Amino acid sequence: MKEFTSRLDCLERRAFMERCARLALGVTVLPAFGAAKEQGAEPQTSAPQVKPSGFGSAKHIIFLQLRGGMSHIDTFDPKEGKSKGPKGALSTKAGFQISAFLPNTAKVAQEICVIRSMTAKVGVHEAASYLMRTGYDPRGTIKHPMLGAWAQHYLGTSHASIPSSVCINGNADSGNGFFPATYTPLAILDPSEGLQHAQNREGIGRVESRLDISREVDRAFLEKYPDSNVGAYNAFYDATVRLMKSSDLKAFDLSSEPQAVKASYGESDFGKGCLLARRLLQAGVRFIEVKSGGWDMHNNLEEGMEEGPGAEFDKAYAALILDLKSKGLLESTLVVVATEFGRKPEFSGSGRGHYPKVFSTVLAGAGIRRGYVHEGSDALGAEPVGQGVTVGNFHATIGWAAGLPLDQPAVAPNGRPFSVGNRAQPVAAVFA
Amino acid sequence: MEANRAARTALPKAKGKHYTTCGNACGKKVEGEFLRLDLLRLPNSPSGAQLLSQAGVWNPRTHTVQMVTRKTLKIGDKLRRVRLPLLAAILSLGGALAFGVEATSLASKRAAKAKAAQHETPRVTLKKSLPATPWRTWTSHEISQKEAELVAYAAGAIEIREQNGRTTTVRLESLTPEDREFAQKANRLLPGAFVPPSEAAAQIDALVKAGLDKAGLKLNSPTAEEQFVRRIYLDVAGRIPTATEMQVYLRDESPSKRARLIDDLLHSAGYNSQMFNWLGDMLRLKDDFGKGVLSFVYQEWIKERLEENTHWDTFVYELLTAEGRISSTGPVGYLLRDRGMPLDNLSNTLTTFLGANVACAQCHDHPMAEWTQRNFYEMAAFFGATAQINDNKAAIKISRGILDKKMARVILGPNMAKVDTLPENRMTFPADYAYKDAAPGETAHPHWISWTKDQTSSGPDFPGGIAEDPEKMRDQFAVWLTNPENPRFARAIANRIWKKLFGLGVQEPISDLDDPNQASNPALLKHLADEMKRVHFDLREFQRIVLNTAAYQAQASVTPDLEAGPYMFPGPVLRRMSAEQAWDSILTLAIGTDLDSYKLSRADGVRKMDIPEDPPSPAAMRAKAEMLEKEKTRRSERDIYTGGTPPRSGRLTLARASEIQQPARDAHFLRNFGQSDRMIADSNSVEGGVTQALLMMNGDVQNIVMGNKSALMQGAMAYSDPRKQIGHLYLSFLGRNPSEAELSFMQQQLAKDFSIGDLAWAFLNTREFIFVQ
Repeated sequence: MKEFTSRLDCLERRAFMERCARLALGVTVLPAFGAAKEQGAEPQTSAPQVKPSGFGSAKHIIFLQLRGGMSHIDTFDPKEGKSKGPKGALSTKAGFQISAFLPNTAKVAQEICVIRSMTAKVGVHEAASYLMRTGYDPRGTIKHPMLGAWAQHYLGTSHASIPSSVCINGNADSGNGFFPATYTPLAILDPSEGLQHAQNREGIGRVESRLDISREVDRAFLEKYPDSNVGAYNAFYDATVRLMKSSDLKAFDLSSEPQAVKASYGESDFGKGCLLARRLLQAGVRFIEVKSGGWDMHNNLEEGMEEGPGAEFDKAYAALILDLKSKGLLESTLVVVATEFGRKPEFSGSGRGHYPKVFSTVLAGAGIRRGYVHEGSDALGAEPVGQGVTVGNFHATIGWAAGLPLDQPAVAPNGRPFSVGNRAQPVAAVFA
Repeated sequence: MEANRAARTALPKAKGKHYTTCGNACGKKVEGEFLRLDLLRLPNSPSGAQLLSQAGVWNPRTHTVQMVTRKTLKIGDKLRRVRLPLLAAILSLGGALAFGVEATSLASKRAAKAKAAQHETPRVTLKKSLPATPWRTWTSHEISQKEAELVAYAAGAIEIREQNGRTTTVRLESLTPEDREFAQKANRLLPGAFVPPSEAAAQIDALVKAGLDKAGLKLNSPTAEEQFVRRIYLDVAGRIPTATEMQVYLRDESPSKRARLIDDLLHSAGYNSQMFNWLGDMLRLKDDFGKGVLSFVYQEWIKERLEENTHWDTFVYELLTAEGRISSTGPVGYLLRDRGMPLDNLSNTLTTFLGANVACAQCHDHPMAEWTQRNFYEMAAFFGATAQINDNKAAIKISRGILDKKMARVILGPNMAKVDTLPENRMTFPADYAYKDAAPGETAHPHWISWTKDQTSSGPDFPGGIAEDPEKMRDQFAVWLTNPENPRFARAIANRIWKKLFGLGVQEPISDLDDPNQASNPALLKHLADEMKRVHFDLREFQRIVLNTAAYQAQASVTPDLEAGPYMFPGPVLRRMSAEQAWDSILTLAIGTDLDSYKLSRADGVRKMDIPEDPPSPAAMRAKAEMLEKEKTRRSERDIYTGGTPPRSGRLTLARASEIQQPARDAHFLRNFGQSDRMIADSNSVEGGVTQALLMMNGDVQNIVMGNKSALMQGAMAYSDPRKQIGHLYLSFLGRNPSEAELSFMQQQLAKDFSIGDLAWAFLNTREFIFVQ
C-alpha cells in the first residue's frame, strides 16, 4: 500500500487515505474543512451561516496560552468513572461542573463560556501550539500571524507610542507572521521587571543624536544589503525611540498596584502576567498574550494541578475576571483560555498523555454568553459531542468578537490570500 | 566483498609488528605499522551471522598498505555492541592486536559495566582527529621551504601543492622528522580515502555551480579579507575577532592564510563553545530536569566529547545506548531529558538525527508522507524494555527520619534519575489505536522502517532478524540509526552543518527530509552526505571542507524569498548574529580574549551526591547529609569555574553563553536575543524586537562595553591619536578599517561633545555590527 500510495499525487493520496480510513476504520483523518479546502471549495461550517451577534464587541483581547496541553478532564470538563482523575468535580452557580482542582475558577463560572468540544488532529506540542496561536498548520515557507497582528492589519495600531500587541512570559515567536516586523508583539519576559531598560540615564535627546551617528556608520551597509531582516531592525529602532518617549510607560510597572490586588492575582509569573495584562489594556494595548508553562503533565498531574501551574492559573484567572468586572472592563475585553490540546482519558496513576481529539477552551467577557457550556465530550472525555469546534472556528470566533472581517483575506507577500481562522466560521452559539 | 557495515579506526601503537597477509600476497609475513581495523559484514554468508575483520598495515619497506589477517567472527550475544564502542574498547587496551575481538569485546564490555558500577564515567570514545592543519611549511633538503598543502601520499613520497596550484613531489626521507611524521599521520587517519580539503571543497563548489548554472545564476563575488575574517570567527569560534586578531591576520602575507585561519579556529576553545551552543538548541539542553535532577554531568560529558572531537555517529550512539544514573553517567541525559515521555523522545530522535517528519505518526498515519502509526510504534518498541526512571519511592521511604524534604531532594534527586533495562518489552499499541493491523494494547514488536523511493536501502538487517531481547533492542536501534548505510543519518547531519554555515539547509526544513526531491540541489545534498561518510562523521573535518569552499567564502546574499524558488547558494545568507554569537561578541569587546579561558565546572557537585547502592542505605544518606553540612559555608556549586573567575557586572556573569546557566534565565540578554528556552528542538530565533533595541541602547551591555575598564575602551585609549582611536573602534566592532570619509566624520563628532564612549555606543547600535556578512 505504501508503494501504491506513493505513486498517487498528493491530493489523490490524501483522498484515498481518507476514504480508506472512513470505510475501514470508521474514523475521519482530517477535520471537516481540511479536505474541502484542498480543492478550493467552500469549507464546511460548524456554525449556521447567519451572522452571529457580538461583532466588534471586544476592544481588547487577553489570550491566556497554557503551554503543554491542559487536561480538559482535570479542569473544565470533569468526568466520573473510568476517566476520573485524582480529584472530583465542583458544582457551580452556572449549573455546570468544574474540576475541584480549580476552586476559584468555579466561583466565577457564571461569567465564563466553556467550549468542551474543541477538536484537532495534531498531538505534537510545536505544531499544535503553532496552530492554536495562529489558526494555521505550520508550513516551511511562511509564518502566519497571531490574532494581535491580524487586528493591527484590519484596525490599525491601538496606541501611538506603545505596541498594539504584547506577549508576556515568553518571546514573541514570530507573532507578526507575514505582516511587517513592527506588528511583532512586545515581549515581556519577566512581568515583575516590567519593561526593562525603557529609559536611558543620559536622556532621550542624547540617545537620538547618538543614533544619528549609528545611521552614518550603517550607510554603506544598508545600501549594500536591501534585506528584509535588516529593514525590520531599522523599524524596531524607530519604534523603540517612540516607546522611550511614551508617557504611558508606567503601564508596564506593577509596583504601583495596591498590595491587595497583587495578592489576589498571586505571586506566580502567570499571576503577575495577568495583572500586567489588565494594566496594559487599560493603557490602550489591544492584544495581550500571557503564557503559562508546565501543563505537559505526563507524570506529575496531581502535583502540577495542586501546587504548580494549575493552582497558579486558578488563582490568577479568577482574580482577572473579577478585577475586570469590577472595573467595568469585562464588557469590552475578551479573555481567552487556550491550550494546544487536551490530555488522554486514561489516567496513568500519575498523569495523562497528549490528546488532540477533544479538549476544552474558555471564553469570557465582551459579547460572550455567560455561564454557558458549548457542546461537550462523551462520558469518557474521548470524543467531541455535537458539531465540534476546530481551532479555525475558535479563531474565527475571536476574530468576529474583535470585529475583524473574516471574509476579507489579507494577501501575504508571496501573493497568497490568508484570513483569520483560515476561512472557518465563527461559533454563533457562544455569543450572548 | 560488499561491505555492508564497515567501521574503521586507527590504532595508536604497535609499530613494527609482524603480520600475516592475505589477498595477493597471501601468507607472507610483513613487518609493518598497524593502520586500521575494519569490520565487514558478509551479506549472505552461509552461516548467516558472520563478520570479517581485516586490518590494514603500512609497510615501510614497500610503502604500501596491505590487508592482513582476516578472521570470521560470529555475531551473537557476545558481539552485541560490535560497532565503534567495541573498537574503542580495543583501543583502550592499547594495541592488543591479537584479533581476539570476541573475547576482548566481552571482557571490555564487562569491564566498562563494572567500572560504571563503581560510579566512574565509562570512557568509550574514539580520539580520531586530523593533524591541526594539512597546510604547513614543509622543509626538505630537496626543496627550499614551501608553504603548501598535503595532496597525496604514495610510494615513499608525498605530493604537496602550493596556493598557486603548483605541485611538488618530495621523498619522505628528505623531509624533517616532524614533517615526515605529520604526513604519515595524515595518511593514516583517512586511509584510502584521503582527499585534500581543497579538492574536497572544489568538488562541492562544482555541484553548487551546477545548481546555479541551471537556475541561470552566478556565485557571488568573493569576500574581502575583512569580511571573511569576521564571518569565520563568528561561525567557527562563536565570536567576533578582536582588533588585534584582525590586525595579525591582515598583516599576514601568506597565500594560504585563509585555510590556516580556518584550521586554527577549528581547533580553538571557541569552536567547542560554539558547537555546544549549537547542540544545546538541537538537543534542548537544560540544567534542571525537575525534581532535584540536574544535568551537569551530561553537559560536561558533551563538552568533553566536543573537545575530543568524538565523531557524530559515536556521539549519537552513546546518547541512545547509555545506561546508568545521571549523577555518574553523562550520556543518559539524552533519554532522561524526556523521561516519562518515551514516545516524544523517539519522535525527537527520528526528527533530529534522521530528518524524519514522524511526529504525526505518533497519533495516526501521516496524512501526506509514508509514515504509519504502526511504523512509529514498531520503532518505539526498540525502547520497550528501556526504563527512564525518575522516581525512587523506596529511597524516599528510607530517607524519612534521616533527611528532611529539601535534603532528600538535593541528595536523592541525582540518584533518582537513571536509564535501566527492563526484563521484557513493554511497548504496546495505544488504547485508541484505530487501524486493523494491530489491536489496542497489543505488544508492539521492534521493526525498522525501510526507506522508499530512491532512498531504497533498508538499512542493515541483523542476520536472523531482529532479536527481541531486552538487552539488545535499544542497541540494535542505535546501530541502525547511526549506520553509514542508513541513508538518512549522514544526510541529516550534513544538511544541518550546511545550514549552520550558510544560514539555510540544502533541504528545508531540516527536520523533514522525507522527500529527497524537495532539496534545492539534490545532487549537492547527496554529495555532502557522501562526504560526511567519507570523513567518518568527523564534524570538524566536514566543516573544514565546507569552510574552504568558494561558495562559503563568497559575499553574502540578502534573505531570499523561498516562495519564489529555492535558494541555490551563490553564497551564505546575510544573518543576524545568533543570541550566543551576539552575547559572546559583546563580551569579547568587554573583556577581550580572556573570555575563552573561563570554563564552568559544575559536574562535581552532582557527582558528589552519587550513591551507587540501589536503594541507597541510611548510612550513605547520612554520610551525604554530613558532607553537605560541612560544606555549607562554601559558595554554591553552581558557580564554580576553572581557568579563573569571570568578572561580573550587576547580575551578569561575563562568561560565554556555553559557560553559564542552560538556558539563560528568562530576561537575560541571551533570551531576549532569541536563545531557545530549550523546550522545543531547533527553536533559537534571530528575530528582532523592541526589547532588544532597549537592551542595546539602555541596558547592561552598553555599560560593559562603554565602561572605562572594558577591553575595547582600554584598547582605544592606548592610542593618543584620535584617528587611531576611531580605527580601533571600527576594527573591534565591524572588523574593518574606516574609509577616509568615515574617519573625518567621526573626528567631527569627537570635536562636538561626543566622547569615544559615545561612539562605541553608536557602533553597538548599528546593523553592521549585529549582522554577519
